[in-house]
Amino acid sequence: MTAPRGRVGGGVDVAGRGAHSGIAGVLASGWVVGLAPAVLAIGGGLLLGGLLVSLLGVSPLEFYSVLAKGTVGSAFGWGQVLFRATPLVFTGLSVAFAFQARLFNIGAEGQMLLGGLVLAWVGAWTGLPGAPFGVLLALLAAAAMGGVWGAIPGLLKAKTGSHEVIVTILLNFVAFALVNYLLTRGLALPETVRTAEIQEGARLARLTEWVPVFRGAPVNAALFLACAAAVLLQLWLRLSPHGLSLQLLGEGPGAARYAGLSVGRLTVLAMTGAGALAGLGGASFVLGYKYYFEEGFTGGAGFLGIAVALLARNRPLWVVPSALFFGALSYGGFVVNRLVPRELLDVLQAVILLLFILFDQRLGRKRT
Amino acid sequence: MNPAVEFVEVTKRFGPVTANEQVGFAAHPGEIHALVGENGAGKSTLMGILAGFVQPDSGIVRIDGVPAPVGSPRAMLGRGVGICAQHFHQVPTLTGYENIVLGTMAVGGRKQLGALMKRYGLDVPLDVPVERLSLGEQERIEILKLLYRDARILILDEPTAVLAASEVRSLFQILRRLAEEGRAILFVSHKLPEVMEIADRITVLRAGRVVTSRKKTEVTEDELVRLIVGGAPPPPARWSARVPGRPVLETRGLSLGRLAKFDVQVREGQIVGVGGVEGNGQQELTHALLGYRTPEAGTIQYLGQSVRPWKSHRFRQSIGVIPEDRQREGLVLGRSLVENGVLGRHERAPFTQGGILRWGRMREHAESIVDVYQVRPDAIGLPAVAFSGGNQQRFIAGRELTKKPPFLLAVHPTRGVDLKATQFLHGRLLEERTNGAAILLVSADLQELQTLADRVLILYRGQVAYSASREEIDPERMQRALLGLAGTSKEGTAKGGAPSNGPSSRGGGR
Repeated sequence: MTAPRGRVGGGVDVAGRGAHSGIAGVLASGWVVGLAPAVLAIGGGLLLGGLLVSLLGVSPLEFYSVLAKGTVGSAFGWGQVLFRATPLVFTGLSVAFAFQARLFNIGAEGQMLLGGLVLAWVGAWTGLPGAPFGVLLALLAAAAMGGVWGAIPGLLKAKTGSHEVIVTILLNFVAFALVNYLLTRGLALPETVRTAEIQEGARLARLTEWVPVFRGAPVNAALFLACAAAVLLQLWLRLSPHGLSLQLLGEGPGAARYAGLSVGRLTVLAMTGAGALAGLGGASFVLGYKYYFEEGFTGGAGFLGIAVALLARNRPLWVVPSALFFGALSYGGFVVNRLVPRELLDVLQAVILLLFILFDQRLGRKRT
Repeated sequence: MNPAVEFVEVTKRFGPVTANEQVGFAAHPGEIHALVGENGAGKSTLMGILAGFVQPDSGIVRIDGVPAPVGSPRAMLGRGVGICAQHFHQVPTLTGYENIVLGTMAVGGRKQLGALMKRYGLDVPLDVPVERLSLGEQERIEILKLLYRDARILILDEPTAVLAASEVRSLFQILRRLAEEGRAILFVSHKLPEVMEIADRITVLRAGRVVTSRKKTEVTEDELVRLIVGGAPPPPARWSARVPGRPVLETRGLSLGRLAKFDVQVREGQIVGVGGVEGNGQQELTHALLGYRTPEAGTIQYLGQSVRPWKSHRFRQSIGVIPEDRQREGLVLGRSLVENGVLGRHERAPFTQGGILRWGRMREHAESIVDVYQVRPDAIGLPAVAFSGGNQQRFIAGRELTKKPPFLLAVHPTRGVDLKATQFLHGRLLEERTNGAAILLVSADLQELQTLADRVLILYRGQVAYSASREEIDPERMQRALLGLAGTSKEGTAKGGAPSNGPSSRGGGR
C-alpha cells in the first residue's frame, strides 16, 4: 500500500546526503526538523520533571540546580558523566548500526557482557604484550566475541527468516547464563563474582593523568575510543559501498532486492558490526576503571543504547551527545539522591523518550 | 446550481517544483469530468488536495459552493469526497468487507453493502483477504467503499490502468449510473480513447496550469493530444526488421505456482512480449527469473550457462530490470537520484574504487541519466519521491538501459505513463534491441506488445494460450486467448465473446 505522494514525503530525509544541487532550503529544513524533536522533548521532559519534583515537595529550582552542579557543574561531575557516557556511545552505535538496515539489535546487553568477559580474560593473560599492543589485542578479541554473538541472529534471519528482535532478546539470556557459568567454572576469583586483575599492558589510562582536575573520577581513555568509533562509523556510512548498501536495504528493501543486493549477506554484516561495537562497550569499565570483569558491570547500558540511538536518530555522530545526555541523567540519580528518590531520574528518562517519539511523529508528518 | 467542486487559484509547490499554479476549474453534479495531462502536469497533486492529503500553498477549494477546509482528509470525507487512488489504500490481509467498514460504524454494513452491490452490479467477493483478489476486484472494493460512505464526489485516479477491456466496459457502466444519480466523478487518465468515450467535460493540465476546460463535444482526440503535449505529438516509435543473434535467455519447463511448464527463448536483438490479464502467471515468471522464489521445476539458461537466480544474486546484477512497481521495487524513495542512479552497481567500479564510494562519479552518472532520459525536474539532489510517476519511470529505464545489459526484463514499462514518455520509452527499448539486447517485455497492453515485440506469448491461467511471431499476429485470436477463449482447434470460435466463460465452459460445450 502506498500513501499519496504528499504524505510519503513526510518521512523523507534529505539532509546531508542527497542535497548536492544547491537546494539549501531543503537541507536547512532537514537539519532543523532533525533536531527539533530532541530539543522539544528534552525541554518538555525537564518541565514535567519539575512538576513531579514539586509534587514531592521539593523546589524544582533547587532540584535542577543540585542536578546541574553535581553533574556538569564540576570537573568531578563531568568526569563521572563522561565515564557513564562511554559505554553508552558504544551500545548506541551498535543499535544505530544495525538500524541502518532497519534491524533492531536488542542484544547489545549480552554482546557487551560477553565482550567485557573476553576483555578481562585476554587482559589477564600472562603472555600479553605491553601497551599499546596488549590493549589492542584485548579490544580486538572483545569485538570479535561481540561480533560472533551478533552474527548469530544475523545468520538466523538470513537463513530462516527468524526475527532478530526475538533472537537477540533470547541470546541476552543465554549470554547471562554463559557468563555466570564461566565465572563459577574458574574465571572468577574464589568467593567472588569478579575476575583476576588485568595486566598493566592492557590498561587504559585515566584522564586524571593528563587533566588533574578530574581527580577521583573514573573517566578514562576509552572515551576517546568511543568518539573515534562514532566518527569512523559516520565516515564509513558515507564513503563505503557496503555502508550505502546497508542504508539502501534499510530504506528500500524491495528496490534493493530487485537491484541484486545480497540481502542475506548485508543482514549478517549489519548484525555482526552491531555486535562488535557493543562488544567494546566494556572497555571503559574493564580496561580503564576496575581492571577486572565483575558480574552485572553493564548496568543496563546495552538496553539504554536503544534509547541513545533513538534520540540520535541513528546517526553515529549524534550518538555522542545523546550518550552524554543519558550519561548525565544516569549519574544525576546519585547526585539528587538526598532530595528525591534516585528512580525519579529514570522516570525523567522515560518521559523524555516518550515525548521524543511523540514530537518526532508529529513533526515528521507535517513536513512536506 | 452550484458546482460540486470548484478550484479557485490553487497553487502548490514542493520545494523548487511547482505542481499546481493558479489552477481553477469546476466539476458539476452529474458530470463525469476527465482530468488529463502528462506525468508531472499536476493531476495527482490536485486530486490529493481535493481528498485532503495535500495542503495547498494558496487558493480555495469550494464544495457545493462552500469553501472547504483543505489539508484534512477527514473533513473532505465529511464533505462527501472519496478517492480511489492509483495505488489502493487497503490493508492486504483484511477481507474486502473489513477494508470497507474500516474506520466506520459497521452496524448493518453487510446488508447495505449487499444492496449497493446489487444496485450497481458491483460483484466482488467480500470475505476473502484483498491480497488474494485481482487488481480489478480490489478496485471494485475501493469503489464500494466510496459508495458505502456515500461519497458524492468520486475521484478515480487511473482506474483503467489495471483492467482488461471487458472490465473497463463494466466499470464505465457503473460510472454512468453513478453520474446519473447526480454524483460528480473526476476521472484521471492517460488513455485518451477512454476519456473521449466516458467524459462529459475535459480539463487539460500542462506544467501545473489549466490549459483548457471544455465539453467533450467541443474537442477531438487529436486536438486533445496537442493540448496535452503543447504542440505536435512526438512520432510513434518505429519497429524495423532485424535478424536476431544468439540466444541470451532461455527457460525450459519453468513451473512455479500458476505458471506451468513455461518455455521461452529470447535472442540478441529480439523483444519477446508476454501478455495476458493480470494474475495469469506473469508475476510467477518474473519472480522465478529474478530469484525471488524457487521454481518447482524447469531450468533457466543465460548466455549458454545454467543459472539459478534464487541461489545467487550475480545473475540479477548483470541483467537490467524495469520492475512492475516502480515505487517499491525500482526506487529507494527517500534517497536522491544520485543513490538511485547507481542502485545495485555502487559496489563496483567506477562508482567504488579502492573500497571508497566515488560520489562525484555517482553524481555525474545521475546527471547523464537525467539528461538523456529527460527527467524533470533535472535536480539530482531531490529524493526520488519528489518526482512524478512518469519521470520516475524515465529514470529507472535510464538506469537499467545505461547498464547496457545483455538481457532486459521490462515489466509493464509504460503503465500509468503519459503519451510522450511512453513513446520515448518505446523508442529506447527498440534502440536497445537494435544494439543487440535481448528483451523480455511483460505487458497487459496489447497495443504495446504489437508495437514492440518480435514475438508475442499470451498467458492464460499460467499456460501459453497464444503464441505468434510479429507477422503472424491475429489481433482477434490474441484478444480471445487473453480471455481464455482460444482453443487449439479453430472451430468453436463462433460461440462468440462472452468474457465470463472460461475454458471450462468450452470444454463442456464439446
